Amino acid sequence: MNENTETQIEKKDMRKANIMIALILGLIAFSVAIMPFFYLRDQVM
Amino acid sequence: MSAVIHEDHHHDEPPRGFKRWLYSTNHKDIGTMYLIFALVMLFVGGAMAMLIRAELFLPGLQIVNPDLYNNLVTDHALVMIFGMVMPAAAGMANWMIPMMIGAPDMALPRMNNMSFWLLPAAAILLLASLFVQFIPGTGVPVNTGWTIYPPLSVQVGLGMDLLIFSVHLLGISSIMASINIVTTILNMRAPGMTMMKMPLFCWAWFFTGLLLIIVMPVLAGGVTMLLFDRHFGTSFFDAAGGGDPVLFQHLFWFFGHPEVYVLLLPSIGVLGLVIPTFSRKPLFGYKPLVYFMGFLFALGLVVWAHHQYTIGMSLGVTTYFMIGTILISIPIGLMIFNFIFTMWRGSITFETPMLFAIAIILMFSFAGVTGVMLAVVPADLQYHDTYFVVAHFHYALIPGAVFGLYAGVFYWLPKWTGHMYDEKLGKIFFWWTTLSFNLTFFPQHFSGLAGMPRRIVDYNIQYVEFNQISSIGAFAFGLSHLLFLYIIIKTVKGGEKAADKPWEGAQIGTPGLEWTLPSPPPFHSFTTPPKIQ
Repeated sequence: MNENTETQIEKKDMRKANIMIALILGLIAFSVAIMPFFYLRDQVM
Repeated sequence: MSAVIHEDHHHDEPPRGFKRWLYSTNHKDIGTMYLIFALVMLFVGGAMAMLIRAELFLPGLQIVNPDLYNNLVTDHALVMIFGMVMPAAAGMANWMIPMMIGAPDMALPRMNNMSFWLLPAAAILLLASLFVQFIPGTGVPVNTGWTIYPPLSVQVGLGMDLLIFSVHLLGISSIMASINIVTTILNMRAPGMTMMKMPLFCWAWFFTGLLLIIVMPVLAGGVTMLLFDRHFGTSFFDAAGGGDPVLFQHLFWFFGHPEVYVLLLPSIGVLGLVIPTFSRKPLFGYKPLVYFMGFLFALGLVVWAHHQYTIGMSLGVTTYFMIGTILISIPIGLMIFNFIFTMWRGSITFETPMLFAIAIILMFSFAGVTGVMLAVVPADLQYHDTYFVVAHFHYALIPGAVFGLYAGVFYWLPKWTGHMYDEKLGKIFFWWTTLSFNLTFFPQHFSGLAGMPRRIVDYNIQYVEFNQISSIGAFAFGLSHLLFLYIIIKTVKGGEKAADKPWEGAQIGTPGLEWTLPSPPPFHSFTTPPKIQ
């Protein structure tokens, strides 16, 4: 714990912002993951 | 977001028993688990390397059969990359980034717990892929190499399925860890800790995290397609069904080449702390170093096919990849000059982390030179799939990534444990590893140039001397890690008390807030954010 209380200030609740950024980054990861599956062209299923 | 929390509900005492570790959301505990996991996997992957080098001590078949040998080569790479270097770097990030930027913990602590606990499951699957071959009826072992190219990877036995599931878990783990680290850096910095005030290690992990988020899912997608080809009748990579095996190579190396920078960047971040500390000078060109890392990040994403010159790409495409690859030497060369200029006219002392840092500059530069040789298409066609490539990437990854992690371990051990490590033993470890590393891999340049192919259990008698020197060096290199283990255990158990700031020059330049905390830091650090002036 930082004992220098003179330089400490109240903290903000960043939970919503954290989840929002995580979701955006997760969406990027998911989009990249499914891209290869669209390379189907002449493939026989 | 704008709500203000007035009360803290943290307890300074950690929970007791296994629950502390199993349910942990504490960044230091999770960092410790990552580091212990990486240490265990270092010995697992190292044991595989010892078997490989024991087999290669003489031509002919000595200890293992060809399929088992190739499976060992495959798993040695995967264990060392995914099981050792990446978790060790993630462990350091977990431990240090929140303390450096004045955050109470990682942005998403529960996801942090899950990121770690996926790793042991992945490791079990990965090792099962090696041992399943001893059960009758499970097919051919995973003899593909870590690149798992089809069509061979479609044809091998059950081990490949286990390996694919392992890669899935490893991928999910590292994507979640990366999302967490990037979010922490963006959102959790203490007031006044701007991005350009962060220690270089944070910037290095910021780019590493972004790289992983972009490239790791491509590998996950590629191996899933492989799984579909193996079991669900698709032919993504089967030319007979309209697919293309070369597509897998592109998917693999779109991941595989940036992965080199994923392994390298955290070590560059460590160098950005160690060199100013022991030179007692601010880092030369902090902002340019950040831009160079960004340049490396961008270039690293668009040069992957230099691993595939021999597949028959058009002249225009190979020329593009050749030029792009050679361009990479610019940001890396500039980074090395920045580190040298940081040392220039500094009051240098040679503690163990600094010794490793200097060794990295020298030996990684050597890998850079052989890298430029390999980037040139006509030359690469000669070197491709020879021991020259093996020598090149071990010079890149052992000094570039592993030695950087050693530098980080010795630099932060006093902060983590509250005890100073034995400097004399640290220096012995440095010289032992550095000399034995060079003894192992330097001769492989010559055996490669003479034409010895990689991933081969037997070899022509003309390569005996080079291989024997390599094997002796490898045994010494492997043995040196017992000393590393001893130093760590000794430091954890006791020793000279470490000060809050154990290194005289630790706060020169762009320091983090980690040195304002005691050594070892309390269970919860920065429960209220410090303000940076």
